[in-house]
Amino acid sequence: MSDDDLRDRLAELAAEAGRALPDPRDVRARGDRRRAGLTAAAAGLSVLAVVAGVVGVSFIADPTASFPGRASAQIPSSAPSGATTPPSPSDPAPSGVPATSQPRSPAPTSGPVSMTKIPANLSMLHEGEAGWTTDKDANVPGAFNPCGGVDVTAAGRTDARTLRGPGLPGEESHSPSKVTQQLILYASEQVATAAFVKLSKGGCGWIKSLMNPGDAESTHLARLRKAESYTQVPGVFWLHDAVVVRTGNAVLIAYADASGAGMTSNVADQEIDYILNPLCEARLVCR
Amino acid sequence: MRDSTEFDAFYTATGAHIMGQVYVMVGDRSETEDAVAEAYARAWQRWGTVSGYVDPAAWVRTVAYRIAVSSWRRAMRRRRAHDRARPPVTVPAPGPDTVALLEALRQLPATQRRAIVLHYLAGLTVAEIAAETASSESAVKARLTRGRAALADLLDDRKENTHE
Repeated sequence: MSDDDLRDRLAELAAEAGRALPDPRDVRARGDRRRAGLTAAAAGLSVLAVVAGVVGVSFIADPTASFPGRASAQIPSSAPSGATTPPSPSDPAPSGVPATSQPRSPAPTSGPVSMTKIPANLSMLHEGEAGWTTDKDANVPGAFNPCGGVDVTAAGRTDARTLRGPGLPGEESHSPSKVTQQLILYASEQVATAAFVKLSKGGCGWIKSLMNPGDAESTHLARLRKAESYTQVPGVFWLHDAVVVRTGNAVLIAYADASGAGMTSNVADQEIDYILNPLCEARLVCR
Repeated sequence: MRDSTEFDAFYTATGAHIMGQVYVMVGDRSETEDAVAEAYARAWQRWGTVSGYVDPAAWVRTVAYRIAVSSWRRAMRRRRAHDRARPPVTVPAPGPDTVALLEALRQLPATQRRAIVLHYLAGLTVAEIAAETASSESAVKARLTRGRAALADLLDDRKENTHE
């Protein structure tokens, strides 16, 4: 089969799907519905902006949260749509304020607070799941350190929590992965920002991935990837992903090492997405 | 101010290509249709920004692909499928060549499929694929070489089996 044959066959296959294009007015209407819904949600949740300093902790404090695609991640079938699971940015626009967009624990009670200690009752995304370990050592090395050497997450830390576990169950057979989710609190927003800037620079083989408008200029979210020589040798981690988010004085890192086929379904991205969706609905932090 | 005429022209000019490309990457027609529609809806939401990009179609394709492969989204779609009654959609049965090609594509790792589509369907260079997929050029070259070889093997095997 020549390259031209392959090109022709792929084009033929693609053309079949291309015939099913919806009317552009429908597509615009879909976009307008989402825009209107997000505006409503943002207005209803504007109070959250005032306490953005604690959001770094509180937005992941949902003890019922679980990660889709994992054995323990069952979406409650009895729950009304959008009531107990974080809405995806791609979901139809909410008609009101989604309950999940509000931080659950600890509940902010007054004006801006800069939390420097992670509450003992905080439950992070994979806490307690099979195969996951929790490390509450405030001085644990950063889950992501682009160029190695001095830990760029260390300066000014006041607390940290680190969870380590496997990749997605459906992909572990061919792409064994290690995933780390790490929340770090800093003494101030300035110190957290300094750590974020160092992490988000990339370099040393790390390439910034720009997926959405504003990614390049973002001062709060960075996604980076590093690919080494491809090998299918099990346990040789050749593909690495990191997503870093800074909000208030908190930095959240989702990091994944993949081996084998490297089919990780952007697991680090999904970790962050799942946590950020409620925040994005409230227009505090979006990708 | 968003210009709906400009957006509609962009959509009409690129929609079928993007739909086809994402379909070949993903291999699921209904997932593709929904993901592409969603990606264009997001583009319309931010049209003031997206229209200023060097290649807005590449942005839509990347977003559509990410939506389609997001397991979270798949889970939500499965759940919503129970919530709504949809009239059955009649889709003509694909021919044997189409089935064979789809089968072969499904056996490739997603990263190789994506590279193959971007190169052979979208006409992107290795450097452009590396930028769009956030990979190194050497990784893209490896994916193209391996994917191309695997496809040839899989399709030739099938041809031989058919003739036996």
